[in-house]
Amino acid sequence: MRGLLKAEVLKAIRRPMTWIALGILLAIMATLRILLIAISFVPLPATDQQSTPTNVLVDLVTLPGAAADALNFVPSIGIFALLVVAASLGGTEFAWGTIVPLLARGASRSQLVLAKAVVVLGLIALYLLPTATLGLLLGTVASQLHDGSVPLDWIRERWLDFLLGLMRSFWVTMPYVLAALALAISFRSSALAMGTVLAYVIVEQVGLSVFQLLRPMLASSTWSWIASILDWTLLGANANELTGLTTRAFLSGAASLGELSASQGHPWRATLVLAIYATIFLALALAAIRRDVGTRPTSS
Amino acid sequence: MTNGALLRVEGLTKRFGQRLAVDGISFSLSRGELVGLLGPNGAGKTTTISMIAGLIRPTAGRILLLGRLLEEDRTTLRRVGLMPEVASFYPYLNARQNLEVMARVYGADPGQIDSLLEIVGLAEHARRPFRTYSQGMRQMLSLANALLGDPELLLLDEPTNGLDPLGQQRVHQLLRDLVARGKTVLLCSHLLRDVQELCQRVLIIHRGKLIEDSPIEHLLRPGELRVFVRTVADDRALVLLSGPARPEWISGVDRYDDHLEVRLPPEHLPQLSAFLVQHGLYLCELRPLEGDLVTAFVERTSDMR
Repeated sequence: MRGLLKAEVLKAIRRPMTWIALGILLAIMATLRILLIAISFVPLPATDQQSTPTNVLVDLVTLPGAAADALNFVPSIGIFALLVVAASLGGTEFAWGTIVPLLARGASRSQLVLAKAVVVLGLIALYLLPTATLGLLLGTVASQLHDGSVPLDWIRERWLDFLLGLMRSFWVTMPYVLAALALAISFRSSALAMGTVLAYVIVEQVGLSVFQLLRPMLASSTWSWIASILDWTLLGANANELTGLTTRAFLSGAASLGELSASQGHPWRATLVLAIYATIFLALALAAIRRDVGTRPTSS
Repeated sequence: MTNGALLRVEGLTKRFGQRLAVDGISFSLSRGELVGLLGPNGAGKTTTISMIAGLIRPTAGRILLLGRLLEEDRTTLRRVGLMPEVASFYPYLNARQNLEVMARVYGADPGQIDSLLEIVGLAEHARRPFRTYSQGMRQMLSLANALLGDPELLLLDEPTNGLDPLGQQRVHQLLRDLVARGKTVLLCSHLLRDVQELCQRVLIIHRGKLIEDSPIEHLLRPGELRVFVRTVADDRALVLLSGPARPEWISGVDRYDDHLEVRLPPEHLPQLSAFLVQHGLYLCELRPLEGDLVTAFVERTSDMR
C-alpha cells in the first residue's frame, strides 16, 4: 500500500493539471473577490430597514465575514476544478493504458483504489488551504480599505469556528470527488465521469434553488413529506446544511441574503449522510476496479 | 508437462459473453526457455498473456506460476514482467519518472532504473517527457519496465513492433542474454522471422485453441525436405517422379511454371540427382528449399482465410 500511495502522490504532484486547476481557482477567487470589494464601495438602494445591500456586501468582503466565503469557496466553485482533477486521476489510467503496467505485477486493485482515494482527499486539503489563505488575505485588504484597520479579535474568538469551517468544507467536498473518481473507474473514462458529476451538481443546485421557493407551499400541504425526504437524502441539501453553518458563524447578515432561510439545523445528520454517500462511492470504485483489464488503451 | 515448470497453464478458457476467446489451452514453460506464441489476429494470444499476467480472470482453467496457483497467490506475479502490445506510460512524466512510479508499485529497487535505461538505449533521452517519444522509444521504455525488478518470466507482446533494424537487433540480443541468464520468455509476435531466429519452441493458437506446441525444428519439418528441381525436360521429369516407376522415398511432386518441387527425406537428396540423370534428365538446377515458419504457420492456420 505504501508503494502504491507513494506512486499516486508522485503522479499527482508532477501532473501539471493539479497545479493549473489550483492556479485557475485562485485566479477566479481573486477576480470575484476584487469585483465584490469594488462593488461594496458603490452605494446601492436599500430594500431592508436593518441592513442595506451595501452593508451586506461590506460584511461579506471584510473580516470576519470574508472568512465564510474563503472557507466555502472550494465546496461551491472550487468543486468544479476538483471534480475534473479527480475524474482525470481515475479515468486517464484507462485512456492512457497505464492501468496495465500498474496492475501487471499483481498490485492489489483495492489498495490502488484506496491510494487514489487518499490522494484525491489530499487534493481537497491542498486546494482548501491556499484558497482559504487568499480569501483571508483579500478580506484583510477589504477591511483595511473600508475600516482603515484589520479586525483581529475574531481570530481569538472564532478560531474553533474557522477550524470547523475548514473541516466542514473538506467533508462536503469529499463525496463529490469520490463520486468523480468512482465513476471514472466505472466508466473507464474521465470525460464521462466529469460530465455526469458536473451535470448532477448543476441540476442539483438549480433544483435546490427551485425547491427553496416551493418549500413554504409544500410545508403547508399534504406533500410536506417530500421536503423531508429531499432534505434527508440529497447530497446538495446536506452539503448546504454544513456550509451554511460556516456562513452563519462568520457572517451576521447571512440570513438577509436569503441563502440560509431553509436551513433546519441538522448538522450531525448532514455529516452522517455525506459520509454514507462517500462510503457508497468508494465501494463503487472498489467494485469497478475488479473487472477485467484489456491491454490496449481505451483512447486508441 | 514438466513438474519443475516455471509456468503451467491447464485448460485455460476465457469467454467474453457468447464469444469463446480462449478454449481450454494447456502448456508449460521451463526455466531458460524462449517460446514463441503465434496465431492469426484475434486468435486469443493477447487474452492468454493477459490472463497469465493477472489482468483478465479466466472463465475456467488454472495458471500455476512457480508452482503456485495464481488465483490463490498473486504475489508470484511480482516475478513476471509484462510488455504489452501498446507501450502505456504517463505522458507528462519522463522515462526515469515513469519507471520510478512503476518501481514503487512493483516494490522494485529504483536504483536499477539508470542501468535499465542504458540497456535499452534510452539513457540520453531519460529526461524527455514520454509524450515526445517515437514509437520505437516507447517500445524500449516498455521493455525496460518489463525488466524492472529482474523478473523470472517475461511476457512480451510484439516487442519489436515499430523498432528500427538497430532496435530490433538490440532486442534480439537482449532476449538471448536474458535466456542465457536463465530467464524464461514467452514471445508473442507477428514477425515470424524473429520467432524462427530466437525461439526454441513454438505455440500456435488458432480460434482460441492451441493447435501446435512443438520444437521449432519439428515445425520446420526437417524430416521432409523440399527440393527445387529444374531439368532439361520438366514435363518428362514430372511423369517420371510421380508415375509408377518413381522411387518409394519420393513423397510428392508439384509442378510450377519453370520448375518442379520434390518432397523427400533429406538423406535421399544425392539419390534424386542420380535417378534423374540415369533417366536422361540432365539437371539445370537442383537445390534444397529452406523450411520456414511462415509456410508452417500458414499451413496450420489457413482454414480461417
